[in-house]
Amino acid sequence: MEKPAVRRDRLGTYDWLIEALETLGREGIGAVRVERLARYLGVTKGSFYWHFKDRPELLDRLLEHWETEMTDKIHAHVSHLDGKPAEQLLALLKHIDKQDLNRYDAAVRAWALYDKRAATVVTRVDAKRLEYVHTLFLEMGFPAEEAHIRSRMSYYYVVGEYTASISSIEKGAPEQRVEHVRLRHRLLTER
Amino acid sequence: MTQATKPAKLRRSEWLSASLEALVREGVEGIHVEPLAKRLGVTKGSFYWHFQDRQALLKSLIEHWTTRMIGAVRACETKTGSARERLLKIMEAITREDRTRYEVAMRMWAAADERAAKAVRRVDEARIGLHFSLFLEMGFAPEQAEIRCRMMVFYEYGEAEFAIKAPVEKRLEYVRLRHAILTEGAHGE
Repeated sequence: MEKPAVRRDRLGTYDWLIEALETLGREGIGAVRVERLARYLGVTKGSFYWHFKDRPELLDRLLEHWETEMTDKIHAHVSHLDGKPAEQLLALLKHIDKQDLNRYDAAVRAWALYDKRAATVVTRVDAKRLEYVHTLFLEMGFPAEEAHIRSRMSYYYVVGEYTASISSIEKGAPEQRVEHVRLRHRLLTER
Repeated sequence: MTQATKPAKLRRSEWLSASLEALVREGVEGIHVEPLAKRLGVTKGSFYWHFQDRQALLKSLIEHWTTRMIGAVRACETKTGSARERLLKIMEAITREDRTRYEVAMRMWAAADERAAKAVRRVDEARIGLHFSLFLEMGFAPEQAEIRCRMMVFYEYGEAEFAIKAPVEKRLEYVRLRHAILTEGAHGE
């Protein structure tokens, strides 16, 4: 990881959050600590307190950051693409896979298992994402119940893939994963 | 001798059940003899009647879970009817018995423990092997069978990850919808 020296005195809150999210994804919530982040960023611990009161405040902001970046912004990105709802769904599935957005989710979910604040945010994010995909299926013309189950089949796949791959089921090579995305998409959108 | 064995056996399974619940609640770190004893309303001493130590309990716990899960898969193998009907019965059973209840906690544990990982692998292989052969029997090509298997198991794990679940009746309704989507185009439909 290259860290240009010029950035050091110009680190903003956002930089700390990006580093915190990367660290969370890579090493889990236990590793998201002021000293370690400062070391990764190549700055002193003191500069942290310019942006955050303490670690709990950082963790709160980190949850917000994850919610915005990995949900709201992705939905906004996909919504701005031209195309039919079915194409938007394909774009969404490909985007999630390509950016490997799941690696942050995995860490946040592990955190949420034993932390109430994190659990609240995860619940809200899940609801938002399901709602988004549900709307796409409704727009494709599926009746409500069908749209409901299809949206869950798409979303739970993404969530479950991470859970399963922790210990056993291979995620597969990138090309194979793209093929899986296509097969899944066809299965769920065709009538 | 025979009189003492029966209630003692019962209590052993109670320790295991209580440990599974603790695993779901707090993860493997939550499994400790003293809090378990308190929850069961017994003395710590009675634990050592069944298990040598905490490690022995954890080992038995993995075996207990594995046997249950593999047993459930084996029971499904003997069901009658077309492949499509059998798959529906399996999906219903998984939902009705809340079989994925310990799934997430087991996988979390497996991420950090080789014995647990081995158990989860065994259960996965048995389960996916069964589903895969059913989809092949329905006439799907291997890659179509594979994606259907993945969609099936990932859905179950995904659902298990979610804290808030729909009531079982509703979920059984979803099972049937899911089953229809996954088996559309099967032979003998």
